[in-house]
Amino acid sequence: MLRRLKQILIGSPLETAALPDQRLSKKAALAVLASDNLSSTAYATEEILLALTAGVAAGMMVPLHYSIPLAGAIAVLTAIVTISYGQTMHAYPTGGGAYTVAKENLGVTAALAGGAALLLDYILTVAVSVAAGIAAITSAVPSLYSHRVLLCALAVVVLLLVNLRGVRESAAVLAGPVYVFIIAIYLLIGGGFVRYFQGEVLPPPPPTGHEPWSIAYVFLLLRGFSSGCVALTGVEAVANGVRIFRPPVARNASITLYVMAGLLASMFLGTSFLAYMYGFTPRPEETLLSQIGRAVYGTGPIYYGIQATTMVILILAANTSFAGFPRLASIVAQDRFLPRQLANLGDRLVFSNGMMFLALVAIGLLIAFGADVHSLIPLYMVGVFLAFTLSQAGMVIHWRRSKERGRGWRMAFNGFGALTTALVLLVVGAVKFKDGAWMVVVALGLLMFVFRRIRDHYYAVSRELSLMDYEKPEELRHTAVVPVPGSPNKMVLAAIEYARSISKDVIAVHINLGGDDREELARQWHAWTPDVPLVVLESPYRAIVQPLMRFIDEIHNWRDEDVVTVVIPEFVTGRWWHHFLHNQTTAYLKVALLFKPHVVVTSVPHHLRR
Amino acid sequence: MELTPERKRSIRQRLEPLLAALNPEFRFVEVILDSERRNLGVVVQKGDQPAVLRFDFVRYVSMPEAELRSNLEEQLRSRKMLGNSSG
Repeated sequence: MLRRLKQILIGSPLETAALPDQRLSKKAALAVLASDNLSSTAYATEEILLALTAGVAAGMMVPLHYSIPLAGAIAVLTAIVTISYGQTMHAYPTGGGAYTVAKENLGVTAALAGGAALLLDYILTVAVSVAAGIAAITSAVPSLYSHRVLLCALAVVVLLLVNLRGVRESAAVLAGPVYVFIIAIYLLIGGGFVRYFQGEVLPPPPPTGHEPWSIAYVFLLLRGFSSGCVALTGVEAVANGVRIFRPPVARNASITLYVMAGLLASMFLGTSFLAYMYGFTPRPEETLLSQIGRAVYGTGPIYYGIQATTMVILILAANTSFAGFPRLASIVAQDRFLPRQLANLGDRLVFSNGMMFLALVAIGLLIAFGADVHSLIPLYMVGVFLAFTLSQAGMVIHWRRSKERGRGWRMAFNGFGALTTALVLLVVGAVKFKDGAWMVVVALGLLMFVFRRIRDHYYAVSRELSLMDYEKPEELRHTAVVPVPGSPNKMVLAAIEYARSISKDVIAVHINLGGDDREELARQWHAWTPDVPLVVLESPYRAIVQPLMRFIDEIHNWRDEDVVTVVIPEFVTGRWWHHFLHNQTTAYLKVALLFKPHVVVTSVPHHLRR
Repeated sequence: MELTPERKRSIRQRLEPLLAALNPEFRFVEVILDSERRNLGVVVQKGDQPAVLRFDFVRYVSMPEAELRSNLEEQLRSRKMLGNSSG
């Protein structure tokens, strides 16, 4: 039944040979990898204005038109980071972004910091995007506001299912909404400018000067800048997911990256201009984009269309993470810093385990933060800019070692990129520290520690299993212990016969909880298996597993050089729900025995027909 | 390997009084012998704690009572199934 449900939800398994067919064209890859970056248009301007209006609320004279130069500076920074990543992709067409670049050039610690930052970034992308998408819906339908966490969790589950169906399938679902969103935003910007220049909108009041320069004022502007830098998030997705592209991989990825950056810059600057020209400020119950849409097109079908498209793109932005996180996690897992399961391809040639892990953690975050976009965004930025900085710094070392032509200017460019993003990282870290960035710093440290512990574990396992110091043991002898439920039956006798086939020393053991007639039991037992001793242990506290474990320990010490095999008779029910009608003692026993050294556990199943 | 009922009975008759002398709470459960006929196991229980006391079968047969008693005591004490006073 479960298999059928799985097939309905995610489709039939794909052959490994079909892996090259799963690679995407530039158009399809743009839909998968750019949705995160482009969707930040929906909230980046709002984040700048939120920071600036906080100053106004505190009694400072902050001209809101400062959002325009701040947006311009962010667009320039986008260009720098984009060109830097373009170079990274040519140098490392295998993908992995900051993790790979740092590992090759800066060492393991930097790589782990980069990997942790990127993985955290992906998790936060899901949480932020979905929360923002649902916020767009609750702006249009305020009665849904109280159900936002549930709606967010549902959206994550739907995304997970779409992605579990495969890369091509998710791209097919995504392509439409991403391109419709791009058209919708240009429609909004175009319509907004037309209305403004036709004089249908009152021009904003002329700037009235600003607060005298002070540390608090500079801090406020830096806060606005760093908040707006959320627009850059997702730029790294293309470099991380290079392997998603059809060959020539690096060329196709670069073109997609530059197209994405161009779209982002124009859309972000356009909405920032509109917000200022229409004099809008952020409101908790309505997003900035919704206010602009309402002002330009009225509360009609176009407005609802823009809102719906925005909601869809914001939710689908999380899809970039579903494409990036599992791939990066698989690379880190191949290096043994994450559990190996994350490196396994699932039925549909995607890293299903990574996807499910991502969905679970993101839902946890959404619940913890009440699906509040503004509480989640401060967490978002530190990881992103740490990854940017490490990636650029790693590239500087790469070019220094390289003999490629033009390495001088490339090194200079990446150096400038590293310096700029490091500065932003410092600013973001400082201004957002109290808002929650400290949590990311703690999480990064914790993740790096976990990475190392996982690697240590795998190293210890491989050393312990190594044949370097292997000594062949002398002939094995073992005692078979068969836990039996009481009087003999088909299931019990099958286990006894099996035990007899593997050992000359078989002992049956029964735990008497107080209700069994010992003499009758002995008589029945002797009638069916006269040559197997039955040990009946009393359990005054009605425990089964504990006295059994103690007896197994005793049997283990009974003879020198002895291995104990516990042969467990069990029946398998004909229907899955019948399972719940029986005691789960066998399962508890198996778990308890798993951790006992020198004890082998064998299960002898008896399949019930009904 | 299952011992004959007579052999089991004789082992039980020999050990049960010794166990009772050490602590009346001890219950004689079963006696087992391995297929090599070398290792004798005497299963006893006190409360919910079982113990399999090990003896060399050949040595056991000719073991003087005093040595058997002290061997039993030592094995039970090593499992912390006896108090400091040996009863």
